[in-house]
Amino acid sequence: MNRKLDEILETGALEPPPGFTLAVMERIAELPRPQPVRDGPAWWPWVAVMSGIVFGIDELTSFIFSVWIAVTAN
Amino acid sequence: MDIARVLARIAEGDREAFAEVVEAFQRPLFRFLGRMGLTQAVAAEIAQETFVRAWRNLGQYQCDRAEFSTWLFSIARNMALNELTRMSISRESLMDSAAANAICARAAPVDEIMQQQSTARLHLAFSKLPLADRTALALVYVQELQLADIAALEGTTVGAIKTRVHRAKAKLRELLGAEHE
Repeated sequence: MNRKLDEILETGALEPPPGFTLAVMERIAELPRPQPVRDGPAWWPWVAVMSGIVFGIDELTSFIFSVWIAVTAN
Repeated sequence: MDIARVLARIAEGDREAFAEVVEAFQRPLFRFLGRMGLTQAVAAEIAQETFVRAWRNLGQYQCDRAEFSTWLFSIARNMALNELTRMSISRESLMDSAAANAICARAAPVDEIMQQQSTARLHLAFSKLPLADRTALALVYVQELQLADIAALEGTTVGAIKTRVHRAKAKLRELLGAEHE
């Protein structure tokens, strides 16, 4: 029964009409050439790095000042 | 067909290379659209539009993300589903198809008449299947697509696709069997 159903599905299938490729290519001829889509600049890694650097400088400055205050207080 | 090489030729400006793509995929595309329950005329329109859209969006296709066949059939699938939804069960087109077949049948040889009747019967049976089951069954007969590709296209699991196909086949058997009685 399964084989019979497969046969029915095969015999009942549609086929492309003659000249189909030509018809498609005529429409393609009217269209511009497809352009590759370039990926935009990956900005988020730079944002992550820059915020890391700013945070690091801030932490370092705080540390230097705390050491300097501690030294000068004594 | 080495699709990567054909696409490279198109990127270099060889428009005619796209004809190879059309030649390679038109037959499975028509068969898929037919199994979706669409008539020859509607299938031809959708198939043509599928290739035109593929051409327009060829720059967006990334071969490392999906097979070209999966990408192409996803365009056709979406268009077919839109069309079927628009026609809502496509009764009108089925009647057109039956009428066209009847007209052709007057002059056609016996084999051809039987073929046309078989197609009309199949279209009618397909139109009675739920859309999700019909799509799964139509896609499973596309040799270019693996079950995993179909599952990705349908946004579900391979198991779910197998279930849909099994259910669709059982229903088709029932429908086609009932007509023979």
